[in-house]
Formats: sequence, C-alpha cells, structure tokens
Amino acid sequence: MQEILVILAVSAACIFLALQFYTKFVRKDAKCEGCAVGKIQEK
Amino acid sequence: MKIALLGNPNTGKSSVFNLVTGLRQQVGNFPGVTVEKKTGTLQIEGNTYTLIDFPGTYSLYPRSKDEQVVYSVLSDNEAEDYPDLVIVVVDQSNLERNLFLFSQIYDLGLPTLMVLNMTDLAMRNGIAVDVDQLNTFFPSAQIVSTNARVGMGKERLMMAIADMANATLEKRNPIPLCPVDDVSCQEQEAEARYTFIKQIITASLSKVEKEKKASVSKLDRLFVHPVLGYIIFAAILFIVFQFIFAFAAVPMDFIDSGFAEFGNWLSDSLPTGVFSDLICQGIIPGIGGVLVFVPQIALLFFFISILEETGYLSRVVFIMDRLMRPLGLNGKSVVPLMSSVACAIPGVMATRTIADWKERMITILVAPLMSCSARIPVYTLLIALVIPKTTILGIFNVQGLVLFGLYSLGLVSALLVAALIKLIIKSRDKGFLMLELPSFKSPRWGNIGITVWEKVKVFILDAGKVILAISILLWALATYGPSESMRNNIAKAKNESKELNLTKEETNQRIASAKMESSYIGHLGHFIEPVIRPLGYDWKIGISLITSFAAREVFVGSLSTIYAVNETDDVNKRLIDKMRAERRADGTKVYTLAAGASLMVFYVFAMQCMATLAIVKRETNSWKWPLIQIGFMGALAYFGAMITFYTLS
Amino acid sequence: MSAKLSDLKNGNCATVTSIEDSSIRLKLMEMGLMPGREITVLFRAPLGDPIAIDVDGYILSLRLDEASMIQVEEHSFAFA
Repeated sequence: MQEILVILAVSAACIFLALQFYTKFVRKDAKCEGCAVGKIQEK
Repeated sequence: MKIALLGNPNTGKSSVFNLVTGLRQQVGNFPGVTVEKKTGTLQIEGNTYTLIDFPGTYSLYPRSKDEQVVYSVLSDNEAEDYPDLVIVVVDQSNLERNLFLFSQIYDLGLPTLMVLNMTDLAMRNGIAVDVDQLNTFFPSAQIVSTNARVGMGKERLMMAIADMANATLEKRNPIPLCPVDDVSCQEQEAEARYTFIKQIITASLSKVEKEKKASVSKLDRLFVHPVLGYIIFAAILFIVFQFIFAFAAVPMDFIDSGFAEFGNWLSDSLPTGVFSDLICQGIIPGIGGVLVFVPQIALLFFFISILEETGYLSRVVFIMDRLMRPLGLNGKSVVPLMSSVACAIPGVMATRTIADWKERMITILVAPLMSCSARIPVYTLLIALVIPKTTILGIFNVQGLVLFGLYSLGLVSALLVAALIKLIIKSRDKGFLMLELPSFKSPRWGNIGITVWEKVKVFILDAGKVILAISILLWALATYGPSESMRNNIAKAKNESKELNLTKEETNQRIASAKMESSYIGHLGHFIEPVIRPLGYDWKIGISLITSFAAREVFVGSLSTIYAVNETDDVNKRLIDKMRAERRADGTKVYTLAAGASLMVFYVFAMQCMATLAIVKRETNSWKWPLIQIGFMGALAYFGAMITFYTLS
Repeated sequence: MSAKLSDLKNGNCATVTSIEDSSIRLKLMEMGLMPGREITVLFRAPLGDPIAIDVDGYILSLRLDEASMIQVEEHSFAFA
C-alpha cells in the first residue's frame, strides 16, 4: 500500500517538473500582444 | 466586466488600486509578454468587476517595453484585456501633463472615469481645480476626487464605477491613434493636444501664485549631495542588510526547529513504511526549506518598497546614473539590480523600463550576479557553520560582515562584468534617462503590506511547488539505487563491522552510509566528485550542487534530505549540527573554513536558477543570452571557488 | 539670452525655444517639455550629470547630452 503511494507521489513530482520545464522553455505563447509593437520598434 | 486602470507614473495609481480592491488581488502576466499584470476584483451592489492595473505611462505611445502593453491592448478591441471601462488616475497637482494621457484615452471612445487624485498635495501647492468646468471639456467622462493615500474618496469612486457600468452611454466615435512607428504624426498630435489642454487649464485651474514655485527641498539637498548622497545610500544598504540578518534570525530558527520537531513527532506517530519515510524525510524537510526564508524575503521587500514609496529610490537612480554609464548601464539599472537582491526574476523584468537596448541587455546579463534571496539560506547556513559568532569593535557582528561581503562580491563582479560586456556588445543607439523625481512622501504601510504579502505569496506558490517536487524526487533517488550494488555495499558494511567488532549503533551508521552511497544519487555524486574535489567538496555536497541547478535554495533542502536519510539515531538533530559533525573518511571535518568559504563563493557566482534562465530567454527572445550567462557565471564560480579554497586551506 | 539647457546653472530660469529633432523630442513633449514651457534648473547629480529641472511643478531629470538638445531663452532673474 505504502509503495503505491510512494510511486504515485514520485510520478506526480516528475510530471509536475516536466510540465514546468515545458511551459517555461518549450511552449510557444499562442497569443502575443506585445509582439507586433516590438517588431515595429526593432526595425 | 473589465475595467482598466491607467495613469502617469507617481500619481498614486497603486494606492487607488489598493483602495478599491483591498486584498482581493492577483498577480499574473499579460498574455504573450512578461509585463506584470495585477488584477483585482471589487463588488458593488452584488455586481463583480475586474480591475486591471496597467503600467504607468505618460502617453499611449510606448517608449519602453513595459509600456507597449498599454498601446497594444487599447489599440486592439479584440485583445483579451480590452476593457469595457477605463479609469484614469490624474495627479491634480500636475494637471497639464496628466491631461495629456487622459485626453488620449478619452478620445478612444471608451467610457472613461477620471480620478482626480492627490487633492492634499494640490491644495498645499495652492492649486484648485474647477471640476464642473473641467467636465465641460470631456462631456462623456465622469470625474471623482480622491486622496487615495489616506483612503479618502473610496465611496465616491465605487459609486461612480457602478454608475458608469450601469449607464448606457451614447457611443462616441473614437479618434484613431497614430501608427506606433509614425513619430511625426505623434508629434503633431502632441502639439494639438497641448493647445487644447492650455484652454482647459486656463478655464478650470486656479493657482495661488506663491513667491516662487520651484525650490529644492531639504531632503533633495541631502540625498544628491556630492559626498553625503553616496554615504547615505551606502549606509541605507548596510543598515537594511544588518537588519535583515538580525531580525529574520529569530523566526527562521523557530521555523527550522519547528519543522525538525514536527518531522520527528510525525515519524513516531505514523505507521512504519516507505510512504511515511517519504513524508518525514522528503516532504516535511522540503516544505520547511521553503518556508524558512520567508522572513528574509518579506523583510527585504519591506525595505525596498519603503524606499520606493517614499520616492528615495528615484534619487538613487539620479545619483547613480553617471557612475553606471561607463559600465554600460543606466541609472535605472539600479532598480533591477536592487530587485535582484530579492530575486533575479522581477529584476530581469524590471529592466523593461530601460529604453536603450544595449543598457538593458547588459543589465539583464549581470542581474543574476546580485545575491538573490534564494542564496540567503545557503549563505546563512554556511556562515553559521564556519564563521565564528563574534563581534569586531564591539558592534559589528562578524557573521553580518561576511554576509555583507558576499553581497558586495556579487555587486562588484556584476559591475566589472558589465564593463567587460560593454566593450563586446555593439550598440545601436544612444540611451536616455528622462526620469521623473516624485515628491517625497511618507510611506503608506497598507501599500507596503500588500506588496510584501504578494511577493511572499508568489514565492511560496511558484518556487515552493518546484522545490517540493524536487525534494520528493531527491528522496526517491537517495532511497533507491541499483539493487546489486546496494546489496553488495550493505553486505560489505556488515562484514566490516563484524570484523572490527563495532557496536550495534556504529554498525547501523555504516549500513546507512553504505545505502546512501549506493543509491542513485550517491552514484551521481561520486560521478562528479573528481570535478569538484579541487573546490574542497565531497560527493554529498556534489549532490546538492547538482540539485540546486534547478534553484539555489534547493541546496539546503537537499542537504536536509541527504543527512536525514543518513540518520540512524532517533533524535532529529538540526541540520547544522549534523553538518558540523560530518567527517571525511580520514576523520577530518568536511565543512572547514576553506570549504565553507569556497562554497559561498561558488554560490555568489553560479547561475543556478531555471526560472531566471527561462525569463532571460523570454526577455531576450533567444537562447544565446541565457547560454552565455550560464557559461560566464559558471566559469566565475568554478575558478573563484577554487582560488578561495586554496588560499584558505 | 539664448543658450542650451545643459549650460544653465542651478537656480536659473529659462523658457524652452526649440528641441532638436531627435528620437527623444516626442518623449519630452509627452512629459510636458515643449517650446514655450518655463523651466528652472534645480540641482545636479554629484558628478554634474544628470541635471534635475522643474517642469510645471514636477521634477524631471535629464542627462546632459539630452539637455544639450534643448535650446532655451534664459531669463534675466534667477533665484537661489
């Protein structure tokens, strides 16, 4: 019983960290309101 | 219903925001940009409204990154945050300049509410506004007077909001904005607006002429004095850090030992088993490791927001600008660098106020060298471990001085690195300052309390979750290992103990160490040991170094986990006592002065924060800059620590 | 007497006559600094740069090279 809980907790931690990594480093923002302005200014 | 809150900087916009929303606030980001978005809710007569706080600007046309969000949201009625109603906070003591932004927003055609703020200051300056007269120039707008700093006008403001929300206003035709890159169109607009505003001022403003309106306040004479100005700034910083160290120690000790006792009690009460072990040895120390430096974060933000609220911080920008420029920085870099003392993430985001690309880039690159609060637990633990608790000259706490020294080391290296980068990066155009120095005000404790509360909350929720997940993972890695090597090592330890005729307790100690050493994390620590041996570290420190690449504060949590797992006796000793007792195989202490100092230096320099890297990547929009950052900070850390170790041992 | 804003001494009063065409002109105008505006130089940072001026009741700080783009007509009187 305790082993199952440990496996659940550890996998939850792994999934959470992987998700964090994905959202912070990989995912592209779907909407980017500042981008258009930024592009014009960088010209 | 969405309500946007806009206004010039230093008009008391955040006081107005706090006045109507109280503690019902949330901090997030505007979609796609990392500009901080504060939203709050207010309820009037059963209706709920969402108030969105926009960055303070002088015009709708942006001049720096954080101001772009105002233009992009208000110029696009499809935008997610496009408001149904706009509240513009107007500083009554400076009506002419404030009306510029107000008239721009009014012309967008949205229902607009003007909050005439700072009535007290205006009155003191002999300025009186004829509100009815003013209203004739903006017939569809409502005008409310408040003095948000002292909480005056809340009822009036709430009633006006409800009024405007319920009224069906006749649709005004918006006057189109100039394109964001058409400066001559914007200049023409500006001239036309000021001609219009002149008429308004003549009609609705009466000013009691004093002998001479402009004078330099006594405080300014002091704060920008050629010698005293810098001495005062240095003294303020020094006092702040001494206070943080002295005041935070008590609650930190309390939290630290509280969690140790709690873990102890829990391990007695829970049924034995691996999940109980996970709770007592992984989760509880993990949470404790996060909460333990809440007092310091709270104190640091408490002091920073006092400096900001009083208006002193902008004087610091003013006196530092000329000194920062040869280093490729801007006077405004002082604020990001100071914020980085709390956390590099808001620091990097605060660089958005720096309009010049090169000055901004350099500030971003060196900001993480400032010692952030995540390093505080590492510093405090190591200082308490290897630095004696004595005083010099009767008043200066040596531990406090070492802490001050570590912060100074971070600052000096940040400045030197900046000067170096300035020579490398090619600039596109000249930077500018153009900063308003707001009048001095006494701090409003309510506003400061809300700021501190918000920062602590974000820290506990954001950093805390990651740290907790990492400590669970760490516990698993420290508990399990390749089964064969685990079995062999335990058998070996048992045999050795039998041959040496050890007591039962000593045997258990040996077995526990053997387990730890043959766990996954033990293998990992041993794997990198050759690399870190020149710095004076053993494999256990190596483990903590690896894990703290996710976030520095994990260092302490990892050590807690490692030493807790390693424990055989029942007494849950405090981490520092365990570390003090830690011996190498040859019987010498692990945490000598040299090794401790070397670790401190390593933590001053190393770029060990995933969250900061992520922000730098987003802010610079490329992988190049965060990679450069890891590279040069890593090299500084490794060689700095090595030199320290050899000098002291 | 015509001068650059950057050449004024502390306490001097002047009226802005023109601002050099540059990227900062619009920003100065938006902050209320435009031809016709009366300004007073209040104080300087310890190394003489930047300077702080009074613009219609608020204090604006400018770097010397920004101030040198602003032409002013100096008033004959000054206050200490």
